[in-house]
Amino acid sequence: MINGMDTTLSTTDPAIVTRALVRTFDDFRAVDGIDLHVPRGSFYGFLGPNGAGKSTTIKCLTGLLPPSGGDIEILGLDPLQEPLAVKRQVGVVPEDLALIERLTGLETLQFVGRVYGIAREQIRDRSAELLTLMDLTDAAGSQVVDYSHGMRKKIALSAALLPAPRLLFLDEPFEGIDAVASRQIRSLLRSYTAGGGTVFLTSHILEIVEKLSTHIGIIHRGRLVAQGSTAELKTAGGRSGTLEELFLDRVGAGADEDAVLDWLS
Amino acid sequence: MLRLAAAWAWMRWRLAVNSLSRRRRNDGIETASRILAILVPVLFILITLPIAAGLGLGGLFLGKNLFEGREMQDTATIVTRLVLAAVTVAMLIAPVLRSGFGAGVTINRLVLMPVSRHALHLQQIVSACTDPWLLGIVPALVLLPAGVAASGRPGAAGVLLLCGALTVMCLALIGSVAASGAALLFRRRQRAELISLILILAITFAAFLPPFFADRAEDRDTEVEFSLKVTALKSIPFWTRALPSENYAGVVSDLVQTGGSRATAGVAVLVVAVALLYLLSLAIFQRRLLIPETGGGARGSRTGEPYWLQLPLVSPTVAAMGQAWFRAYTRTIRGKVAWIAPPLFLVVINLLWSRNLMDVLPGSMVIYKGPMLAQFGILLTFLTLNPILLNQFAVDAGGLSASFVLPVSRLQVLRGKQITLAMMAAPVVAANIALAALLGRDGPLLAWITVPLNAVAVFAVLGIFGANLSVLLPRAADLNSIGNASNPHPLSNFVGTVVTALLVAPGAALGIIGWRGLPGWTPMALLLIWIMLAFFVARYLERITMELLDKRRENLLALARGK
Repeated sequence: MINGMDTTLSTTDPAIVTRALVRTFDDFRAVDGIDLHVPRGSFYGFLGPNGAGKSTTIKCLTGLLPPSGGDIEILGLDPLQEPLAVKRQVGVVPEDLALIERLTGLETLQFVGRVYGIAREQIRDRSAELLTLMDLTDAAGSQVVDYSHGMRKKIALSAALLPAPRLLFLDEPFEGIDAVASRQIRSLLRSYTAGGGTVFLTSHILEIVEKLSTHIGIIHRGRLVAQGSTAELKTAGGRSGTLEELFLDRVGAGADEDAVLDWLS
Repeated sequence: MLRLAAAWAWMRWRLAVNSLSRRRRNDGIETASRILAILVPVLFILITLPIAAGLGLGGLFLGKNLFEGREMQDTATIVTRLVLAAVTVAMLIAPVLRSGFGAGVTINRLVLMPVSRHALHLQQIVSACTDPWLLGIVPALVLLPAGVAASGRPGAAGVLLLCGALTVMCLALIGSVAASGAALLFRRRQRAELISLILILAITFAAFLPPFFADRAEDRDTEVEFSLKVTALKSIPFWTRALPSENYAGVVSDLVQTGGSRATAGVAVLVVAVALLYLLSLAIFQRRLLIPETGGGARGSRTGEPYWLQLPLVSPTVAAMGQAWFRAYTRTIRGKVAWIAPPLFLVVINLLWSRNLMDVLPGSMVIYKGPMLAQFGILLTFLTLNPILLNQFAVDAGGLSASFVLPVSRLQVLRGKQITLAMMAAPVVAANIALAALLGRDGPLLAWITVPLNAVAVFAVLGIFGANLSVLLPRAADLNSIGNASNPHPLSNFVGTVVTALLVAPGAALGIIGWRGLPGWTPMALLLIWIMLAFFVARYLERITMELLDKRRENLLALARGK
């Protein structure tokens, strides 16, 4: 048992599985029948151009949006049938960071800890460690409304980590984070996955995803156009390129490389 | 300049049109809600138009008859003084109400564009000219000289027309100074919040001033009093001529009395006033552009361990949510007002009671002052809490997303909200009861016991009713704004206010007058029935809220993200 949670699920079961996941907005299919398979203990980088459906997918997986069709399995559970059981094992840093702006940083962590039912001493110790790690100790008593963008990201990430979840959903966690904090967070996430935790991350910073991810999924216009281990995908078809080349190849952006705006030159 | 004005007008037009168009994540209720919200300014315009037309026709009539005798001249002086003074006050206050921390985003965007600061300043003045208060008097300022011209005095009409144009410019510049000044004052979050708090209390209490200045009933001699006030309004003291509104009225009076020599001096004063106000407005505007808005800075603010209560009868999760939101709301302007204003209102009402209120009650009617004040305190408590209560799912921004990603059920979220609102209302109701007991130590004990029981019954229904309204008609609100930006949806606000009054009334009536002519236990039994009924209704409404939350979760989340 970890934090009162059942951990009897086999460690070889996937952390996330979706089958024909669909999410539509009127007649627009933002997510168009994707089959995700995220192994447990993996660092899964979920990539895609702007508007490809990354955030919509993550919202469906975290219960912020109900899917229009298909199945989802998170840590062996159906989030639509057992939403609370899933949420107890999951930490999320969503697009809007989900912060109550008028709480202080420390209060934010304590609030999350109390909602998860963590013992008071544990909340105190974990909060202190997370605030130190994120270099937020001096700002712990300030309201989140006064935080910079990077500080907000860090406190949102701390709040997601505090309950020691078994699966982390991170929507653009490195955007707006300084180099020092970014390095600390990367190191922290590596040790988290090494300990059996799973990270599902979206990011536009391909270099970071390439360094961290053990597995990658690429979504384009709502469809999954690539999925597998990072090493396999990069070398597939005799390719020995970078993640950027793979990404551009799969989303069909190569043709626009030489695009020129005559009036700009 | 014209290019900028056209681009600005086009942007405002597109914003209005786009706010009505249906987006992917909007449902029918949200589209209707947006249309209803737009209808309020349209209604305002529809009300303003006949007033402006009436003022214009009045101006035409006064102009035609201005030189027909002393009485007409006095009427013109009094009307122009009162109307222009009201517009001056509106031009000073309206920009302050519209501003607040974060209100300068649009101007900051324009500063990044290749537009000179002078052009931006002129654009601000033009915007002030389109203020409905100012537009409302333009017909009168044009038709008054037209009337004078029609009476065969084109020279005087020309002077009045010029004077009117200069007065409009002065008022627009006053609006511009007020807007830039407010933006300068509000550029730091903490200071903006403090000023906003003071302003919102000052403006609210200003509404009570007229009854204070009214004479006591026993001292009142209506005819003599009215005649004195009219005499005072007829003569314009020299020192008030510095005000554009007074100067305009002075020019009207001078034109009739001296035939133009003093009126020309008045016009010259207005020209100087326009020049000075323009320079002042430009200086403040440029300073405003130089100093960006800032938060308070987050570093160096380590504090001790926050204290969390273990609340009885609720789960630790609900208690945590209730306390988190309680802290969040009470740190906003609206949250602070909800705590500070009701007891202050009660003191003011007590003062009014001792001066005027007893006059309007029938002589045979005996009212216990203390219990009545306490019941009134309940009404005040909930009315000041309504901006939060009626919009409880739309005032959290990202906090709403938190409640959907954390392991909490919708029922726990709903109960957490009710705990928060109860924690905010209960101390205020208690303070009001204590204050009422100090101010009026009368009435039987049972009348006093009625007060907290009535508050419980009102809250049981109103809290859940507000949750329903909030889910049906959510409006992204900034609880730190003092203007319309902190209000719930207009329809929700109206319905919520009426329902609040209706909910307070039965218990209050039982408490205040129910003890007469009935056996002692009857009012208490009726009150207990009322409380049971309230809890029954609340339980039913809770089920509706849960269903609505399910259906409208996406809309609420989109709203939380500002979409």
